[in-house]
Formats: sequence, structure tokens, C-alpha cells
Amino acid sequence: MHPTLPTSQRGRLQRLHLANGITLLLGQNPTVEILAAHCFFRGGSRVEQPQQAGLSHLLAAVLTKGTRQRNSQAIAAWVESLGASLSVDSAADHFEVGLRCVAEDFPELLQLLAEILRDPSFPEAEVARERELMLQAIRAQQERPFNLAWDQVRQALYGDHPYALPGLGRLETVGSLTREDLLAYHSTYCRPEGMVMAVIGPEPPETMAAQVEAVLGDWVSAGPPAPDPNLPLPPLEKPQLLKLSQPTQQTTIVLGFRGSPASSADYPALKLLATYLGSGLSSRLFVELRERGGLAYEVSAFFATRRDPAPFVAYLGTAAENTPVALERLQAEIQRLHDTLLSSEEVGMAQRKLLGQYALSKQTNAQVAQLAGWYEILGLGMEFDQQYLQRVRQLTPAHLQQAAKTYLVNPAIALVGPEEALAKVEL
Amino acid sequence: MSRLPRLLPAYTHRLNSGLRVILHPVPIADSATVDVWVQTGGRNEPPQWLGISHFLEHMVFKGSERLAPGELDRAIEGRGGITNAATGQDYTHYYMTVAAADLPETLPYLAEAVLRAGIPPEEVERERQVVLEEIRRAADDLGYITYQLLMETAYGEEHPYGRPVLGRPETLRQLTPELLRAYHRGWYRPEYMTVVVTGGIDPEQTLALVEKEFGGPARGPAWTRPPIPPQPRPQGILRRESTHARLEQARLKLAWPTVSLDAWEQVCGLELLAAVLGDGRTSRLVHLLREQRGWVRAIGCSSLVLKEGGLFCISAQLEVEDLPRVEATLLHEIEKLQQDGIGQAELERARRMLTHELLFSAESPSQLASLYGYYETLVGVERLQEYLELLQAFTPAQIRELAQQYLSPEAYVVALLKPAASNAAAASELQLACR
Repeated sequence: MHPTLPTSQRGRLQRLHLANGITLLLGQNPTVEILAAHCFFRGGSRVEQPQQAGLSHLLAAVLTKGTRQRNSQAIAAWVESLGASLSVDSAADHFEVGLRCVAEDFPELLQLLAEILRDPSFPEAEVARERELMLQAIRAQQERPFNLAWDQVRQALYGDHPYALPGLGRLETVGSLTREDLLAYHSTYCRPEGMVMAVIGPEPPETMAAQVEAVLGDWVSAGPPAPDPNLPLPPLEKPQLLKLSQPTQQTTIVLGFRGSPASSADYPALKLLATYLGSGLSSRLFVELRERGGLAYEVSAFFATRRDPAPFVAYLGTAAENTPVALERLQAEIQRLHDTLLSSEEVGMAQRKLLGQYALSKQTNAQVAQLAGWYEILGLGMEFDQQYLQRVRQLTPAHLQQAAKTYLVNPAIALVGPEEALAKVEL
Repeated sequence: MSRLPRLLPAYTHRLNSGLRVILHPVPIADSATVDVWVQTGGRNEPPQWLGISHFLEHMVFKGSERLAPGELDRAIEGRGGITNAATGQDYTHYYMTVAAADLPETLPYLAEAVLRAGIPPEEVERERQVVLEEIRRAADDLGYITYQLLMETAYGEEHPYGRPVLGRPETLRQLTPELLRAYHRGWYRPEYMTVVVTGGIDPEQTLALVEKEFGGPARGPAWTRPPIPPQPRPQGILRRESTHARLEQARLKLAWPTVSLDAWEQVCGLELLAAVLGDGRTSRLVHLLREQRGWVRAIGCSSLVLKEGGLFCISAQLEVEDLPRVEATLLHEIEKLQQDGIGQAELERARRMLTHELLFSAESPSQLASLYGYYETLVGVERLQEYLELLQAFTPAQIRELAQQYLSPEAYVVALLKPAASNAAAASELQLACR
């Protein structure tokens, strides 16, 4: 039988620095034969020049499509013949290469992973095809009413800041991206110094560290790193109402605010407010607008985790004729957070929910590795995992009211739905 | 992996009441998941009460005589747990995940709500609005519309699988509190239910707990499965198209009726065939149509498993002008496979991918509970191991035979969603090319 090991032990990762600047976060979980490895690089949409929006996403689509040694099919055949998965994702503040496999296949796949990170060839034909499919994806994104609403909210909240754009970029920027752009982006951001790699598997950390060092330890960067961009945020001086008419059955209402960066002392309070408002079947919005009001099926709220001030969003979909009343009720719920101090029972309930559900979101090796690596690449350090929870426990009703008054002001409100329904709504 | 993983649950019991209980301790977990499966869903619904299983699932969260609406949610989420439910054609299930230490205190809430749903009339009226919103939301979801169009076309209005599990506005209006209660009594009975508990649990204590909370006898008479017509088999190419104003890219689905779950060996072989054709970048269809030719933005292949007969389905998202050549190529590829068969390496790849996908999908207690409950409800949980063994046993020749037997290039179903050209109004047409 397996030795018993409490879950917290899997969360207790060791940090190790390689000489070339790679940070390794290593955890052992001998109870499953599954290994998860996630490599993080600073970059993502946040570092894209405005005219290159979508570049990081294109890199994610093409990175595994060829190395100096192997073409796309050879790479895929290697991964698939071992029943593993290898994925590249671009996010707002970083991009990430994830591997999941049966642990005994790790040394072999690690070779391939290193080759992909160090020597991608970005074949011209692959770049052209993925660029074309990205253009199609940008159009297809508009099929979802939520995306149409969210796009407008993001634009209103972020102006010239890259968070204004969808990760896919825009038709006019993606169309002109080139292989040279990818090579430049790769050499600037895909580099050992600053790279974070989180690995959780059944072997002891020392073993995994030695395996990684053997293939990535001699990787050195070609040029200088890019300076961190200084990104302006537009002032938000008054609420904005944005309407887009569409022949849909429901109206989608998205209410967005600009919250704090993850590094702010206010971050835990905004996370708890989002939990209170919109997380689960007992949340305030679910109970008031769905259970009691019958106004929606989907109603929720979230607050993102970002390096720069992150969006705080509440949204729902409602029958066209209910558009004005649903918006009014949603706004009233935000106003209530300004005007009324929540009871300590309400805050206690939200705290227990956040803490418990946070623990439940770390059930697999991949989930644990992903979160630790993400905190590390954001500059918060993997210890943020516990610091954050500690701060959530200390929050009081007054903290939440203060955070609501500071951040939940001057919303950008987007409505997507039938024209007649939208016409009835004014600020 | 050189040896076959063993995925069967540690303990399976049948209580005197007929209730099946599956328990599986997971050494590392400090959470526990309870997943309650009921053998009813769309397939048991008479057409005039369409949507009753799903509506009842919503009403379960509205409490009982002893439980106020929303109290179940508060009890579980207030302890940091999560709970939810889902309804399909062949099943309805309710699940919760909590810290393992909270299991004894939270399980009674779930049992009370599921077994003794009160279904108060004023809550029925209120929740009807929510379900109507869910239907409107689905009507704005183009992926859902394509799927539903395929199901309607492949099964027809006479077969329950051809009808939406969500129901329709006009049938929802027929559902009274009395009807919902009668349906609940008829199906939510020990002999039709399975309770799965996984995670950081002690099997003996957990069995006693489940027996105490779920071990009671049924109330009132059982309902039995309505007879279901045989799965329709198209005599030719059955094509259904519809256009949509908000659609940017066409959606194409090609499907072939397959087998019921009694033919378990074929079900497993069809999974391999689907993986050979459409799982991963080196699979035949992804390689050719996405990677080489760039004619589709996405393509996939799946064997849809349903108790009374499934579908082998190829789905693609593409530009409308590429539709003719993509459909022709798909058929050509199928004929090629039927003539030339598949290679040993191709089969090995598919085997390995499916085996590992199953292994990965069973890593957390909540995933594992869902897997066990699903298998037990549809085919019996012991089939899980059999599935793994069968995956290893198939030969290339057998996979080719399955393709020959089920994927006729002359008789299949097509569901197609096209962007509305200029100002053409939404239209739907039905063609039957009889041979």
C-alpha cells in the first residue's frame, strides 16, 4: 500500500534555483502514478505591443509545431504514443507549457519539452495556418453573447492597457503577425532567467530536480531581457452604459469594475466580495436574483488574479422583457455593499466557502502545480497560497465595505440582447 | 504504462432495500465526495411531460418538510463544500464534495433533499421561470443548437433521445407539483439508485452512515420504464440544415447509429475507432483536415454512449465554403479505413491515449465518484475494468470490421448549421435521400 500522506504535503513544495535562473517548485505525491509539470514565463498579452495583439496566443499555437530536430507530426506522435498531453496556453500576464503524463514517461518527455522550449523552429507553413485559424477563432468568439458584452466592458475599463483586448487579439493585428515576430517574442520572453517550473509526481524532489537540470541546466539566454512595460490605465470618472443589439432570446448583462492587482492588500477582500456575491448556489446574487426573483438561470460574479488592477465582474442572462428590472436588481446589490455593513454571519459564511472551495480546487497534481507556478510567476511567490488564506481569515465586514466603496464604483455596464429590450434601459 | 491500472472501487454493497453503495477510500484525500445516481432522465419521460426529470432535479434543491429552500446549499457551501446536480437522458445525479470531517454532518442534508423533496407549489412556480431561462439560454448557444439538431435528426420525435432533456416551454407548463411528486416517488427508490462515496473516508463508518441516511424503504408504487421504440436507422443520407444569424462559422455533424450498451464489446471498440479517427493531432482526421489542409478550425470524433443505442459522431467547425469538400473527404477517409484497415502503431497509440485519459480522469475523489456512479448506473461498475481490458485486446482487423459494420458511407445523418447568407431568414429544411 501507499504510505499515507496528508494533502497538505503535496502542497508543501520545495523551491530550488538553477544557476541559469530557472526556479523549480517540486512536490512529491507517491499515491498516484501521474506526473504534472508546468513551465511558466512572464509575458502573455500584457507585454504585447498594441499592433501585435494576439502574438502571445499565436506563439502558444505554434510553439509545439516544430523544432530544429523534429516537425509537428513527429512531436505529436511522440506525445500521443505515450498517452500524454502537452499544451501551451497564453494568459494575461504569462504563458505556460503544461505536461501531464504517467510518471515513468517523464524523463523521455522532458527531453522533448526542453527541445520545444529551447529550439522551436516556427515553420512558415504552420505559422500561416495557425494565423488563419486564429482569425476564424476571433470571428467565432462573437457567437457567444457573453463575449460580446465582456469585450465592451474590458475596452471601457482598460482603454490602451493590454487587458482591454481579448487574448486572441484582433482581426487587424493578427493578420499581420509574422514568423519574425514569433522569433523575437520567443527570444525575449521564453528564457531561463525568470522561468518557473512546477513539477509534482511520485518521485522524490531531488530526483526530479536532477532530471530537469540535466536537460535545462545549460540553457542560456541569447539577448537581454525586456524591461517591464509601464502601462497606463485610463481614468474612470463615471459609469458607462454600452449596448449592442443582437437577435437573442436573452439579454446578457455584464457589470464590470476595475479592482486591485493581486499584490494589493485589498486583493483578499475583493476575492471574498466576489465569493459572497457570486460563488455557488448559496451566493447573494444566486439567492436574490435566481431563487427568489426567478430572473436568471446563470448569474455569477468573479474577480480575476492579475499583476495590474484586475476586473471585478457580475453578470447574468435574463429574458428580454426582464432586462430593466434585472439590471436594476444587480446594481442594487452592488449599492447595498456600499450602504450596508454585512453581518458577521454573512462574512463568516463567505469565508468558510472561499477557504473550503479553494482547498477543493487543489485536488490533482496538475491543479497544485499550476497554482503554485502561477503565484510564483506573478511575483507573489508560491507562499502566497497560505498568506492569502491567512488574510482572508482576518477580514471583517468593515474591510469588505471599504473595498466595495473603493473599487465597486464607476462600472462599465454592457448589455447584449434584442434592440427593443435595450432601448428601455438608461443609466 | 507497462501494466494495466486497476480502477475498480474498493467496496461495493447492495443494501436490503436494493440500494447500491460504492465506497472507495483515497489515501491522500482530505475531502470526501458523495455522488447519488438515479436511473431516470429524459428516456423515461412521456412526451407530454418532457423536461420533468430535469425540473425535478431543480426542485430537489428547494428542500423538504424539514428543510427550507436553499438550506441544503447553505449547509454544504457554508462548510466550504460544493454541491450540484445534472440530468441526462439515462440518469440524474446529485453530488457534493466536503472536507472529509464534515461528511457525517452534511450527508443528512443531501439525503433529506434527494429522498424527501417537498416540492412546494409556490417554489414550483418560481423555479419554472428559472428553467425557462435555462431554455432561453440554451437557444442562444450555437453549440447546443447543433447538438440538439443532430439528436432530433438521428432519433426523430418518436424516440426520447430525439427530444431535449430541458423540455419545452409548453411541456413545462404542464408540470404540476403533484405530478413532480408522483414522478419522484416512482423513480427515486432504492432499487433505482446508487450512492458513491470516495475520498478520505473510513469504509465501515461510511457504510453505516449511508445505510442510516439512504437505507430506508421506497414509498408508494414504482414506475417502470416506458417502452422505447428501436433506434432509427437511416435508409440513405438524412440531412438537416438550419441557418443562423449570429453564426460566424459553420458547424457540421455526421453521425451513424451504433449499438445499445448490451453490446459492450462493440461500445469499447467504437471508442478505439473514434480515437484513431479524431483524438489528437496525429489522428487521421485532425492530421489531414486541420493540420495538413487547414480546412477546419476544429474537428473531433466521438462515440456517444447511450443506454438504448448511441451514435458515432464526427463534428467539425469550418468556413461554409469548405463544407462540400470536407464532407466528401470525411467519407473518403472512412472508406479508406474500411478498405485498408489500420496499422498496429495507430491502434497502440489509441489504446494508450484512452487508457491514460481514463487514468487521468480518475485522479481526484470527485472525478472518481462520478466515474463509478456513471458506470454503475449505465452498465455496472465492473465494466470499467472490462473496458480497460478490452481496449488492450482489440486487433486492427476488428477495428476495421467495426468501421465496415457501422460507418456506412451511404446511410448516415447530417446536421448542419450555416451562417445566414446576407439577409436570408432562419430556415430549416429536411431532406431524405432514399436509395
